[in-house]
Amino acid sequence: MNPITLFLAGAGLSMLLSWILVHVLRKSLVDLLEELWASRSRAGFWAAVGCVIILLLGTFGGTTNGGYSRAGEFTSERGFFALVTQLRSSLLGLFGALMVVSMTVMIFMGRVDRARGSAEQRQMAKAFDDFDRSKH
Amino acid sequence: MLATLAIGALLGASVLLTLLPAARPWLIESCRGEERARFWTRFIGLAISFGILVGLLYARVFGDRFLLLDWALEPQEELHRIAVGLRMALQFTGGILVLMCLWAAALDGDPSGK
Repeated sequence: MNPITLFLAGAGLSMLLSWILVHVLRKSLVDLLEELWASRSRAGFWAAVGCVIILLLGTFGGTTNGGYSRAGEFTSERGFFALVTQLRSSLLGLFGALMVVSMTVMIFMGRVDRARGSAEQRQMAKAFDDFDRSKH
Repeated sequence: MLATLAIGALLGASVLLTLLPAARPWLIESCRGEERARFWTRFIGLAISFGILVGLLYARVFGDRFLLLDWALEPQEELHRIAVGLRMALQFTGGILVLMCLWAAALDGDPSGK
């Protein structure tokens, strides 16, 4: 098999894997971000950014050509191991992308929770002040 | 070369089809205007397309040495160039995406609402 065809098949397969992951994650990511942002359009945009990051990193891993040595004859056995190397890198890229997206969402959730907590505290303190003032 | 461009076009279409339909409603909300949103949507689309194209051409044309006239390469050398081209395209796209995220975060303000 021609090494270029095999490499492009590997890159295409890694892009397909990334698409599947994006398809699985997208809806829940949009819902989660919508709950945090309280805005569908913002949630949709940031979810799309997360999906593109997954797509780019998965495909980036899938373009590894370390297995396709430039020296020597290209045999089907070498081709198989080169394809395996490509797919393994793609999976590593997808894992890295997932970690990046999930860590970012976790940090963001923490900030939003803290902001909501302090807003609730301020509201309660104000309610107590109003109550004290009404008593005196 | 055609294979590189084909897979680059597929990649570009995937990125743009994921990002642009979601970016438009957000831009309308954040930029407070349909016309501004249209401009920025086009700007993002063009920037990403340009990044992908430059990345793809970069390695094929300006690889280890200037090979503009030497199109007939060995398959494994050609494969190396395709791989480097695709990776460059992905890196340029990623760079543009990071810049866009910084700009978008500044436009959206502090998520905690402070």
